[in-house]
Amino acid sequence: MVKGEIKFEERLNKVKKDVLEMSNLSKKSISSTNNLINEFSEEKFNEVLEIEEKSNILNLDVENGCMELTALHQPVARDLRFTASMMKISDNYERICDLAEKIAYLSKERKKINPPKNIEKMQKKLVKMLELLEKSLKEEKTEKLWELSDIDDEIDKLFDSVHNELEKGMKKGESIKPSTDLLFIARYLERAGDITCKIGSRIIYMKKGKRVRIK
Amino acid sequence: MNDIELNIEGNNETAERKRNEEVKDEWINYDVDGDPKISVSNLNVWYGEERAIKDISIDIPKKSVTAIIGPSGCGKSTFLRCINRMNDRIRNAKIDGSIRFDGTEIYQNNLNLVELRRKVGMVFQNPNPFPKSIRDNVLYAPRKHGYIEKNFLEKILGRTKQKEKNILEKSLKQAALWDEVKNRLDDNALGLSGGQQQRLCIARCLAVDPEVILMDEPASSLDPIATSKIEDLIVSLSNNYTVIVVTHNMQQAARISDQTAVFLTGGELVEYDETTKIFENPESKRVEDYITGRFG
Repeated sequence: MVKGEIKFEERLNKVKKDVLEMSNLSKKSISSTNNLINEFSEEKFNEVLEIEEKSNILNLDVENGCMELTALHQPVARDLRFTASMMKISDNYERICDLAEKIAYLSKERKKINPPKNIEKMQKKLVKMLELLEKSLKEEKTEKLWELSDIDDEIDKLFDSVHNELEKGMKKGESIKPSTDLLFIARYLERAGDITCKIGSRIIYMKKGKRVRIK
Repeated sequence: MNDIELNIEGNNETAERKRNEEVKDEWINYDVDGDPKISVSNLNVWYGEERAIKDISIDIPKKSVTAIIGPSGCGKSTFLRCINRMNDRIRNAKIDGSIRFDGTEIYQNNLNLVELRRKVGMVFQNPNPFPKSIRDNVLYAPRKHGYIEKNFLEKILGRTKQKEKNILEKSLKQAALWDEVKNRLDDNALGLSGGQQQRLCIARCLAVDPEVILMDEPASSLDPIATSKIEDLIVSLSNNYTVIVVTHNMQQAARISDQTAVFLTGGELVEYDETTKIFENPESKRVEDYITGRFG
């Protein structure tokens, strides 16, 4: 193997390692929000904020890594798909960390009312989706990714039930502000589920070259 | 093109398995719009005992750029030379199969080879202008082919000069060289830079009004600026001519061609498809390994 090839493989591996770290960060971030929603803790709040900060930096590292790969090695075929997809996937993970940060702020400002049980279920399902993605990225296997579609459907249904429950509560006279905060939290979790599906579709494109849409 | 699958229902694992099976070892799938300019069927070439090309069938569409890529010794140049029967000049070369040019078989006994090579021009790796003036280089072939009248009446009426001027200007303009040499047409062509010499060779080829231009690594001995000019020229020529380019430069093939044929060791054509498809998502694993630099 010539020197240039080793460098090329090293660069590919570095980008992949960074994206796996992004995956890990987004999973941690979403997991932490559970504690925040049920019982606010300053420590968890700061953790989510720190993760968001880290994810911004790491996302830039991934972008730079992909730009270098493109500029220096002009990747084609699977390497081209890898480079283009990693940039997108990293962006999506960063977006999930942003949503977790928004949830953290809403939890901090939220006046205490008991959140609907289904919010916790949504959050747990989202973590499961993120674990599926991480495993798929690590092992470079795509078979299980189609399960994302089913889990996302379940999250959507849970969101609808949360929406209805909160709406009913507000109609009965519960205070508007904490209820709408919870509604936003549920909405952000639902949105993170959609983004996770987009990442899954990207991984399939990266591995197989087929444009698919998991939704 | 790639399939767009929307929310696949049912047994996803089966669908996934089906997709895996779609990865093929060979993929020759290019639908030519209308009649192909060149149609090759079951072409085999041997040099003595050695088989240089193995059973190749391919259709080359009109007015487009077709790139041929592959490792050294895979038969790319041999294939190119078959199209204007230049392999006939190699003593131990044996050719079997069919090549049709606009529907006419070129491997038939009574074919006019001079006419075929007029219609199918060729540009080589290293610029090879004649040691003559720029003007004489471009006009050499039209004079030989009798494009320019030589009779006395034409000469005294000044028509010969006018015809020569028209051919010279048109060819040099098409080759994007006119502006650089219009004031020194009688200078020796060997005084031009490498890139200019190569464009002069293209102008020389265009002067006899060909239909197909074969190019064997036309920019491999040139610097990036000259290469860029040649690439632009190839793209613009494809509006009027059918261009077939052999290149080792993957990015060049990706930049300039409409379709790409990948030859691999043993003279096999392994994949032929739209260029974007080849460089984004080739069907053949061997082609993917080759173009990503993990093969050979």
